[in-house]
Amino acid sequence: MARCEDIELLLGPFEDGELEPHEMQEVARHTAVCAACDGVLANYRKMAVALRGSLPIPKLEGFASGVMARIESMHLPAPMPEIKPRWYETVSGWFANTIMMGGLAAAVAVVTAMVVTPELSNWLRVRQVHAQHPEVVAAINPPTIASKPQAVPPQSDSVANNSGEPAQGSIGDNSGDQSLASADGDSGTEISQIKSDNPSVVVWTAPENKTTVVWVPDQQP
Amino acid sequence: MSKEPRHDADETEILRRAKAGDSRAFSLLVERYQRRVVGVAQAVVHNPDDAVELAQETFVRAYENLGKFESRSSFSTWLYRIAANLAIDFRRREGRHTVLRGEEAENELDRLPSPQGNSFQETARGELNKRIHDALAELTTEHRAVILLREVEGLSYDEISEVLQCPRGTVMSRLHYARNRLKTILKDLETE
Repeated sequence: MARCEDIELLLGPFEDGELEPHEMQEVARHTAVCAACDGVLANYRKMAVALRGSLPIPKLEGFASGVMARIESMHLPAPMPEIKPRWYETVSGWFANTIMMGGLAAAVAVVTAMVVTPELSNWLRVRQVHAQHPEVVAAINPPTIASKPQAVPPQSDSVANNSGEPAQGSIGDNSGDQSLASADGDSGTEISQIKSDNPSVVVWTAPENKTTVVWVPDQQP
Repeated sequence: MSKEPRHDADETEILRRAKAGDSRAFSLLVERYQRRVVGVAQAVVHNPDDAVELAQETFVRAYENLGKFESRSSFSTWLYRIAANLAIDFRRREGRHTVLRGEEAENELDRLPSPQGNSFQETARGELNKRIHDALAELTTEHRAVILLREVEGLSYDEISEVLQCPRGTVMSRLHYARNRLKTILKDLETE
């Protein structure tokens, strides 16, 4: 059995229920057989009761309203919680912003490429045709293009000439003939022959005007 | 031992509203904790009137600093710590002498046995209370605060440690000393 000197310091915490379970058991075993230590415990209990009964109980009527009146008279601002971001919140926020901005930039780049690239390629193609065949440009909007339907040899794609000679790179006349009556109603142009070995390119030829018109679609398949 | 509810969902909501400036919510907190806050202050200053004043100051300070309160610790413990700090500062300013003033002095006189005496029991109780009051006055502020926070307010050792900002071991040794000291002063209690 533990000695009284060893138990003495544990009696108060035992009474308060603040010991570890094995210590509680040890004190309980000791006080069950030691009248002196059991008497100390009884005295602690009696003292606690006396202390609780001895203290005057302050009057608290109107206490809360008094506190609130004092707070209101001080015109204090609302105690909004201080929002202090943790370091990892700051870093993650920075990363999130960076990723978001990067994604936005990428999206803008993709959309720009999708919109601009076909336009740009068409524009470059037209520029190329204009540079190689300036006469075509002059013939696009003549006052009147008088022409009779004539068979023309097949033309190569994106190439216009006014010589009536087959262009280099032709792969054969497989587009067939098509008759057109007034391709442009306003201009009164009559072009009856459309020739091209490339179905996406149309070549109109008016040999008497020494004019060939090449039509290149905006979007090629 | 009386244990207060720890930061339950209801209290969390009241706190959130109080932080946002809802004075009615803060008033609920005052009503909920006023008695215990007065008790904590009284454990240190050993004077009910001063304790009530300090408790009022405690709630004003709590309102001013509510935005800084983080829910890591219990709101009640945070409140008791403010009360204990204010009371300890008050004790330092006032010195260690208990001064009886006005109504408090009258209360003390009321506790003394009346010559006419309503009954023997009341007289005996009055005498006992006065002796305990005197015995507590003989303790240092630190020892008195610890034993009253434990025995009257029912705070755990950990709570006392947090409120008075001292190690748990110090709480245990102060409590042991205070109990033995009171036992010595109130020797005849053992025989009653």
